[in-house]
Amino acid sequence: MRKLVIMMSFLLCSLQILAQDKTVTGKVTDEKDGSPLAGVSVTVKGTTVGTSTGTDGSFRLTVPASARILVFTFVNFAAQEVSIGNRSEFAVKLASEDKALSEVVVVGYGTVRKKDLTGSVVTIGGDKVKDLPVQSFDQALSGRAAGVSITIPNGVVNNPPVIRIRGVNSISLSSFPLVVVDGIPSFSGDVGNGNAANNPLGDINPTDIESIEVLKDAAAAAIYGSRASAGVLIITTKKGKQGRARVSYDAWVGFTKPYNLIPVLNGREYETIKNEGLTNAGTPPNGTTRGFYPYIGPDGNPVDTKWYDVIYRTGTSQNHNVSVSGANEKTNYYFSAGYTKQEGMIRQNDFTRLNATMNLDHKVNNRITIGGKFQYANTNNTGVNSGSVPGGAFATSGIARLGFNLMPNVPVYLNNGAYNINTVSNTIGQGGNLTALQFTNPQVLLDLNRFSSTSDRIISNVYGNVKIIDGLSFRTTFGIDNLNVVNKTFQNALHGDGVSNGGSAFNNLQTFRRWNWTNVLNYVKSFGNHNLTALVGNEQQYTSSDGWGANRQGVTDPFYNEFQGGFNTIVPFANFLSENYLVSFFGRVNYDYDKKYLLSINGRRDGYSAFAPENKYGNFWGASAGWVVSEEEFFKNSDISNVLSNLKLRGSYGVVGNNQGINDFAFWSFFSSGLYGSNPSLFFSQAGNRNLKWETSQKTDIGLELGFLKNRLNVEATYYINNVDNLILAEPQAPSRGIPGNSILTNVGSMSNKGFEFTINANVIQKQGFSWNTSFNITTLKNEVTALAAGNADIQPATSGLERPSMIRVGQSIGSFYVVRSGGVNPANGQRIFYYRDGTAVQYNHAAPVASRWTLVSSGAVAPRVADQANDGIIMGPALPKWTGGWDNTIRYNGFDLNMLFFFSGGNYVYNGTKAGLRDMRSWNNSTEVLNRWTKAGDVTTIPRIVFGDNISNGSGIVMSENVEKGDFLKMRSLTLGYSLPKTVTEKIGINNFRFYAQILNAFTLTKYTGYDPEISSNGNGNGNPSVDRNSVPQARSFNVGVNIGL
Amino acid sequence: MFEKMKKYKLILPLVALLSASSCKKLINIQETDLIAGDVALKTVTNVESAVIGAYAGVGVEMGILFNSTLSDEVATAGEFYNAATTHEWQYSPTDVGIRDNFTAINPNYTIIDRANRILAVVNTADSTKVGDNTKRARLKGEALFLRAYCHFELFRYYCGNYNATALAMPYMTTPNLLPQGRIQLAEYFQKINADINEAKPLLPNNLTDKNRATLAAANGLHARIALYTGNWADAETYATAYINALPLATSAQFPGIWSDANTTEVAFQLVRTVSVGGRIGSLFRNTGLVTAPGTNIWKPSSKLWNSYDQTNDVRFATYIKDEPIYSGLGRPSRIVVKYIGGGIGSGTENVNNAKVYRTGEMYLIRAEARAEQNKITGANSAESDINALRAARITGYVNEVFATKQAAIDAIITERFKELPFEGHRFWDLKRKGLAVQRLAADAPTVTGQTLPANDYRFVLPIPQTELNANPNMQQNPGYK
Repeated sequence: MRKLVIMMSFLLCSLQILAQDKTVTGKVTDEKDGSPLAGVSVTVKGTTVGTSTGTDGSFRLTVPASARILVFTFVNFAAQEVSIGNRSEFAVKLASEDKALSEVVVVGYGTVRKKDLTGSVVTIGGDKVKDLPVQSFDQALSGRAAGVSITIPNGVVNNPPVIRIRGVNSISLSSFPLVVVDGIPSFSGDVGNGNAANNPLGDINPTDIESIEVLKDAAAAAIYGSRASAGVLIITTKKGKQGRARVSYDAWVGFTKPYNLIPVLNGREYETIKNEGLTNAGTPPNGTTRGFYPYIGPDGNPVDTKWYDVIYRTGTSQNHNVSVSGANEKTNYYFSAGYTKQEGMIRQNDFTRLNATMNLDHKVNNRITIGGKFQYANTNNTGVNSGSVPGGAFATSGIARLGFNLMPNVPVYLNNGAYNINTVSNTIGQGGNLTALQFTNPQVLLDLNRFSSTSDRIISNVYGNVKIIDGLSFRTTFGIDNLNVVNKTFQNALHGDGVSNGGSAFNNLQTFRRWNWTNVLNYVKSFGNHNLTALVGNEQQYTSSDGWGANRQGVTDPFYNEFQGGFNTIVPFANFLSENYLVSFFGRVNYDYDKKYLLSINGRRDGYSAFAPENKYGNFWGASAGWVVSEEEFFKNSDISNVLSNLKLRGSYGVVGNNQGINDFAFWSFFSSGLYGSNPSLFFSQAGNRNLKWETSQKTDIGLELGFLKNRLNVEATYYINNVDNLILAEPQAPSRGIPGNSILTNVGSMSNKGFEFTINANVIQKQGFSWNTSFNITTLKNEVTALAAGNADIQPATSGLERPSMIRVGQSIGSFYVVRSGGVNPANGQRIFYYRDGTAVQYNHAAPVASRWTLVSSGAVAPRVADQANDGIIMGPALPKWTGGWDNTIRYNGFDLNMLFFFSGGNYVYNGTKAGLRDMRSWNNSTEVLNRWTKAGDVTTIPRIVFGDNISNGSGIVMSENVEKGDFLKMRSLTLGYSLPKTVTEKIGINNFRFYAQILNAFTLTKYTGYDPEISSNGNGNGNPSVDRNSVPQARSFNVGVNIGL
Repeated sequence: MFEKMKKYKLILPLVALLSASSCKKLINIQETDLIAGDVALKTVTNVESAVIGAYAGVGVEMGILFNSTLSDEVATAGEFYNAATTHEWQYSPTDVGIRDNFTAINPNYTIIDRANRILAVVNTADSTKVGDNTKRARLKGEALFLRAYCHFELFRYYCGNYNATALAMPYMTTPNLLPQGRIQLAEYFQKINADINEAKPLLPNNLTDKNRATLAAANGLHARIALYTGNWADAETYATAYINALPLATSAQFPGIWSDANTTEVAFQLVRTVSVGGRIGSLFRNTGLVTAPGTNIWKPSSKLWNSYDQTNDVRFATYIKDEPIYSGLGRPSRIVVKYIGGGIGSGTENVNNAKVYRTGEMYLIRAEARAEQNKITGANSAESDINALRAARITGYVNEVFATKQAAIDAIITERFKELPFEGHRFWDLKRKGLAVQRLAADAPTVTGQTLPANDYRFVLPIPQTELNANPNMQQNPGYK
């Protein structure tokens, strides 16, 4: 009542209502169940006169005598127009709107109806990520949305996926989107210890997620200003739904194992191949100093060790989640608790999470709403040196490599039960072999080394929302995100990486703290057909990171395997201290005229502490416009409207920034401290750049939305351009300037991403008891680097500091491969053919003396030089997929539901460096394909004549086109079959719903790629070296069965 | 009702105010575990740390390696050879053997920049302790010394023999990002000499701390500069000043210089431990175990080996050795032992302090300066200096008489070869004297790798491509493209 009075006084003040008005009253209910609808907007058409319904759905409104029609609008319901005539009492039933268009989409600092959206935003429902056997929700997003490319790098548990929204948007900073969880930007990346991966997004229980919104263009993302260049993921957790308390129990159990392992030689084949290599090298096995011979096991037979079985397993997993939620008019609550323990396919590689979430909203009165959330998670990641996380590809004890490169003719344990190891050379024991071996025994590493990364995470916020006057509200939100990570490593002194330090323990604590205070003033108003929403706000965010730890070395007794044990020396390790602060002022205006013409403008001014005082602030903005043609009278009156129910054109342009991943003190010039002897020293260690500023991204987006047959079929097509400028790169400086590292960070690079996005959603079949919903999306991408530092000098990012197959070159797609062309195996002599850049064919014979290994194919004469990448490299690209997409199908038949998600990607090349290792002719084991080696003149094969020690012909020592393969694939990401008990049964047993299901994750992959899997990233989220497959473990396949019970 | 609204209206400006006040403070976050440029060198104590930081960057190792491998001091031992382009003089401006860690331009200009940052603040840094003003003078002297030292090193790598109008390098006196061009040698040495002359009265006139610059060290540098620029009187004067402060070691003391048992003859050295500055000896031979000694990379050349009186010359056994640990394993066993540290298999194998100036060198500088001034024989002559040095090194040495200037000069060059191997002099000496690198056939890696003709353009190293790329004013040395 009071509200009404305020309302009226407002109207009186501002709108001069005429005296001869009449009063109308009524009640608005839901057509479906007759329940009253609160908050429905009731307006007189063509005027600004209006009110909204009370909690009982009733309304009372004084209307001018000239009023003809009342308009009822409500979120999620179709608008209804009712003529007034002589009536003064109205009973209005609102029907829920077509779902696709009525959906409310969460955008930055607010929501908007999908129908009114002019930016490019995709919503992914929480149900899509809920029951999957993944560690973090982002792993479940592949193929779900156009423009969003998600690559699971491999089967290491909780390894952060590679997420790219509309291409790669930076070179030296992050191309990972900003992830905002309930209004608070979350930590992302990998906070593990380099062996146990730890994705901070794994601290969020996927079951708690209500929806994930992806903001792609400037119109949608510019409200996040300087952090929006790579797009934004907005995570909204669940809230209670109106009605009595609902209790849900969701659980699954399952198992996981590797798939598509490449077959390797058995013990006897290994001996044959390696001895043949020795003979071909001119140093035949002689039984005394050279050669490969079997080791006789305890059963009297030569051993044949399956190293894959030593490192991989069938891991078992379980997941339980209980939630209680509900809401009445005043209070809305959601409590949940979850436990998951997932064993990975690699032994020792486990993920455990224990978490609790509480979301609460309370309406204090008609003006004030308060609420908040509290989310706690304890996550424990354990692992081994997998050699499969960024930087680890060439680790001597990387377990993925040990699986395929260890010699199958030596045992895990000697016959006396001891580990089969060579303690002098710190390698695997020789067994019966005489030629020296490489690599280490993984059993020892699995038994004695320990790696763990444990997180304690609290994400919490409180907010208050005050309605100041009708349409104008103020919301203040204060949130924290505190992440404590304890990383522990123990490496034994007996065997493997720990030997050089005599056994070592690294422990370190990393504390990341963030607070965020956001204040937003929101205004919603309709003036006749003019609808306006506007907001202005201020956001402040402070983040600190603090790490300290030590490495204790030289274990004093083999008994110790913890940091606290006895050690000889201690050295500082992983110490860091940093902080940053972001202050922002932002605003947005959405305007539409009669729901036909849509306009949205947003802007943001960001100040960031990492930049120099004169460059701290940057302005970002986005503008968009839309035309809903289908709302036009001429369209509605035409026949086409019978088929085409929705037609919208939209476009946007804007400039956003990127500061994600920049060093917190990037502009400063620094002195570092050191020790010279025992004297403290100071030296100039960073030459800063006061001109350093944000990387900027100009985003253009043009879209067309079509709805057919009452929107049963929706089609969306978009063309996008991201022009990224001011990329921060280390500009080389003349050494004569004498500055540290001879480089200064400078905004010099630029790059563009362009492409089409195309999405179809269709309700193919919609019958009683039978439905088929399908959703298909595909995105194309053309990336081009357009400027680099130092006069556009090439950049060749390394894979794990060693191999450089990738190239960042102006005019090319980022990270294209730079390879020496190889021409197969010369049938005449079994030598690998390579080409100089000028086309001259040369061949390589490892058996020849060093000076004459390279010869001309044409004449057999010694070649003028070796073939190498610097002289003969050519670009093979792109490495980034030209197209990616997904196809999601849900079929329901009575109680059954079947979901199939396909994920596809292609048009790109993948560097199969693992293949080089699998064909390496040193003492390493090989894939079985080497059995097809060249043996005599005329043999046509892909495997050169085997020469022991040869690391060139197979590509270990040279990046060659033979090892670059097409990366096209189609993968059935998930297949789920569920059955829900019918209502009649559930009612009888007193529950709401009961569903059980069985599921396969990574059911199969169709590809011509010869490695484990073309969905791979040995370099993780590296911008400049994507699609590299180097000594990584494959993907995991999981099977699980689960239940969803609602009480 | 309206009152209530007023209250809400009050909240807004309050919030805005709070926002504004907290953001002002936080937007200017200060770094706390590294020291930002404007506060780093605030006090004299800070400046002293910066001086130590500048010393920490000084290294003689690159000079030692280049002078050995480009000249006739060493030969490949056959266990590891990846330096064909330098050892056989095939380098271009982008050669791997003279780029990255092997680029003399990088460390020297880095130290010059460190010195310039010290000189910019040393006069105004706050005195916080008793004696700071005295220390201030010394720190300034040390920074000037280091600036002169590094510019002289750059001259030795990248400039031809002294000639007033020949190309020098840029002489940097302030931290500066502007592209610098090459000046002429006359001006360049004027600046070097001005720095040393300014430094000398500021440096301690004692040898209490040989890890830092002293007056004696400055005289050593000055004598060397005079030698390279043909200022024979100056060379004699400064060498004499050095010799007076640090007489020659006895043959009993001599091996102890190299094992760091004593610092006789040494006015200035660079601290080297396992963790500071690395292992000098590993330039020639890797570390290893007694059972598996490290890879023998560079062995002493036969030319050097044969040049000594192996019985009586203390330098032979101190510098080089036929090591039984290697010969017992059938491996190339002639090794450089001058920097063997704690010995093969020890934790400090190959770890020795780096000696920058030594009295032996000063005797040879003075001898050459006297010879050039035609003081060939008699007291205070080239002859007396050569004989004094040899007498200190060779048991039962009988004085030699020099009849001509050329005979004395030839003897001095030979004596420098024997006295100063693996100390970073040989290649520059041959260049300075316009001599060829002439290896014995047995030492040469290939036939073409036996001789570098006198005055070949490769005696002057190419300006690295990284410098040319980023500095449009830089000029390449003749002969290189």
